[in-house]
Amino acid sequence: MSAPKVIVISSDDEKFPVDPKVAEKSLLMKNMINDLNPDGLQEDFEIPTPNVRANVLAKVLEWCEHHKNTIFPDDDDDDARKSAPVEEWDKNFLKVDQEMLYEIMLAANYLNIRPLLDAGCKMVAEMIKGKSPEELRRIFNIVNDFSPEEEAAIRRENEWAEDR
Amino acid sequence: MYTFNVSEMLSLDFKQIVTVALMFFIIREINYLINNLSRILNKNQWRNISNQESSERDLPNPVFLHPNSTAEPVSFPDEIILEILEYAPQHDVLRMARVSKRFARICRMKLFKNIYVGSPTSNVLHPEYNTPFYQKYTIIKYENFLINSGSLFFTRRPIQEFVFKDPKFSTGFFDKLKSFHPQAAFYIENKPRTKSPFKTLRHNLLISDIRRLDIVPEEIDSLTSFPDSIRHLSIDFTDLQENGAALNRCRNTFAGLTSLKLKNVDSHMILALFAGEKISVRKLSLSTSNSEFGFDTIEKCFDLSTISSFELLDRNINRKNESYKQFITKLASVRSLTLSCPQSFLRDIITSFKKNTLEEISCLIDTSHDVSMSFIQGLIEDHAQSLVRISCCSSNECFILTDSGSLDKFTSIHTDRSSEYYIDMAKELHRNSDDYPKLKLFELNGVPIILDKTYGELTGITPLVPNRISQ
Repeated sequence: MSAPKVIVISSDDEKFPVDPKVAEKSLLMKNMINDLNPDGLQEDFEIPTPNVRANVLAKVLEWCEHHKNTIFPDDDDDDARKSAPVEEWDKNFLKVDQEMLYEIMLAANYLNIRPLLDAGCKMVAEMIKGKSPEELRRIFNIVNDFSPEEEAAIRRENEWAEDR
Repeated sequence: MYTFNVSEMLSLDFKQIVTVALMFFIIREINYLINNLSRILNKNQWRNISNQESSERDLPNPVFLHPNSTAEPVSFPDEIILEILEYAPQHDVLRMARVSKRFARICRMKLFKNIYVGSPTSNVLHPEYNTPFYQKYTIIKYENFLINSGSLFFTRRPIQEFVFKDPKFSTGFFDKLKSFHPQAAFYIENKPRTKSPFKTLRHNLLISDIRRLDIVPEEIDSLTSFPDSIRHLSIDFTDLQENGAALNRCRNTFAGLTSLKLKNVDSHMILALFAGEKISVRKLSLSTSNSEFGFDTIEKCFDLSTISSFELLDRNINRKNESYKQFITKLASVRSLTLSCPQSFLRDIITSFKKNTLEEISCLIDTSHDVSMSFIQGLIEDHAQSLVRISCCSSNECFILTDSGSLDKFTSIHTDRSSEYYIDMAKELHRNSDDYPKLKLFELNGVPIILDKTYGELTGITPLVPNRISQ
């Protein structure tokens, strides 16, 4: 018998059989596997992810597969995590339309895949760099819900730190 | 086969969730199709539209609002937005706060928590811009801090850290600020920043054991004497009103002093503060604009034989006299030399040094417009064995050549260093010179970078024009 697999099921019921090692990149899945198989994985094990669509899940699992042997800096080591630039492979991997990027990040958040979420956040942080509020609204399609007075107030609140 | 399902554990009705998810999915897919269809239909039309409009069309899909679910926009939860902001420099977060009410609320959680008073770069091209430093600190310009310090005093926001770069406040000021923010940590950063500012923020406000002190004359007035612990002293005399009494009072043997920097100093001030036993320092840096600045004064107050690094920035750049030359050549153990004077005179001075003794030469050539190649080559040849770094700046350009081993010729400079390295050196030079409003830094093998007045801020990148180097 071949080694047991973890079968990840997307919200639209597509099944993705992967190595346990790949699935364990997700802390959520890792805990689930370990908690429910205290004696190790004996047979195939299904994990439904009702929040994640198949095309997103495919991407996320592709990432896990690529990084199955990568050792990431500790969660607690904030400085190391923050200053590490996005790896070239990750950068290319995340060069998808913004909607996909967004869904990957939500999935990474839900599945608790810290390094993937970090990479996504860094990519979005990159996008907001040096942009004016007006540009930011346009890029992210955010509606300005300030009244003119409120807008002036928040501008006053921040401008003395902004002007450099 | 053993199966397990998440929803059961969460005691939710799995079927219900699947149904909702499926419906949601179907609606979204339909929307998506419609969108794509209209995109395809419109494709040909788009081609004929001018550039300006096409850039509008190319706007990426929104991230924070879900484009295809118009009924109820799905957006990132606050925690993910906060996460994103963790990676953004505070400068960007400040602007993000002005986008919408929700963002204002979220951004506030990150802003004004750690405050840095000083003026590092705000330029996104700057290599330091992406360091955790900029993500952590809300940076406030010195002037703005002075004008607005009231609002920081009285703010109810819990401030975790205050960092002051080269503060010019009395200790009373800090005491007051501390009393308003008892939980905050205070740091003073008055070391020049080199690589990562993050690592050098380690000076607490314990004046009794201070090693490094930057001070201005009005602070000297309130000082009874310099602490004995002091190793590095820097005094800016620019706005000194009276000289004499206060300086006399603060006179000290400066037994432990290793480096001394005096800005805008004249002979009287040096005598008032340092007369007495000769003071031994390893690093002496002077800048003056006084035409009667006497070299005999320096000789009287300092032990010239111990100085290994000497810097003299003289506004009277045309000073060209024998006493200057004689003085300079008395600096027997100097390894690092920074001078500002006309090129021809500089050559004259530096050749009088023993060959192969200088490790570092920095020339600030104010009057000539171009740094002559033969001049640099001459310097390199004289000290080929010892030289590690040479930099030559005029008001127009700045060459920085550096090498770990063989410095053959100007043209065969090693280029394995990162450009950041050059930028750092240019900044270093830049800091020492007020008279060079625009230093150009050539990386020589690639992209040259212009540094302007405000602390090494990158203002632009222009292509290297090699024929500007005069032969």
